[in-house]
Amino acid sequence: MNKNQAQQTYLRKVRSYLPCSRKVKNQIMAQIADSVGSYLTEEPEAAYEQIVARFGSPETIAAAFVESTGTAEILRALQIRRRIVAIVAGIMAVVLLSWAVVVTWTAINYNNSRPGTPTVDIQYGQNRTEDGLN
Amino acid sequence: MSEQLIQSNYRRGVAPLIILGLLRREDMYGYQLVQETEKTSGGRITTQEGSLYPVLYKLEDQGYISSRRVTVGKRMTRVYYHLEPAGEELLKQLTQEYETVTQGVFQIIHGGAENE
Repeated sequence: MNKNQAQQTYLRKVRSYLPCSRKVKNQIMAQIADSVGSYLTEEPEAAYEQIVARFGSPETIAAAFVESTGTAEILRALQIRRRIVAIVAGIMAVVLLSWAVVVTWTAINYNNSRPGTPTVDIQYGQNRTEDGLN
Repeated sequence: MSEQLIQSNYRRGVAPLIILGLLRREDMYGYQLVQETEKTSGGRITTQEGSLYPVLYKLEDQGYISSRRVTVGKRMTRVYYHLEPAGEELLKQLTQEYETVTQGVFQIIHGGAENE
């Protein structure tokens, strides 16, 4: 892994671990990227493991963020996440139900339009073929 | 107690206090804060540079510290952090709280609660 790959891999992993909004993540990552870049200017042959030894693992940095976050902020973030999950689940349920209704309606209409087969007349509740009532 | 848990407790309560305490002496950049933490604590407290940045971000976001970029040499830049007046006030408050809590913990551990 060359210098750029080690740096990019490290920064990508740290970014993926940070549990915060994109805006906050960008600001923290800018500082970390700056420092990692400076370190690699002094130690251009540093491998990924050396970057981790100097700056900490991505998990450690994420833990530092969580531990420096107040309880109220964490609870608020959890509440927002729960609301998003509930909304997405609700939308998926509506989409699934709509699909089921459309498929059922299409199946009934298809059956009704086939010649020579008994049809179901939902309005009158009677069996009839193309020739008329049985 | 594992080293991980000790460091975890450090971050949870003490990291802002240590950072503000060091910045009261002089402006410092990230790695300098790591080195000074270890040196001034006699090696008792160690941390890695990456762990500081979330704490530094929060302190700066809330106006307790500020930062500036300084070009070092031909290609390198460093970000120096500076303690703001609001940070001085926070440092006093955190120091007082830390002393109170530490005193209370020692009293509990050493069984001296009746001497309050």
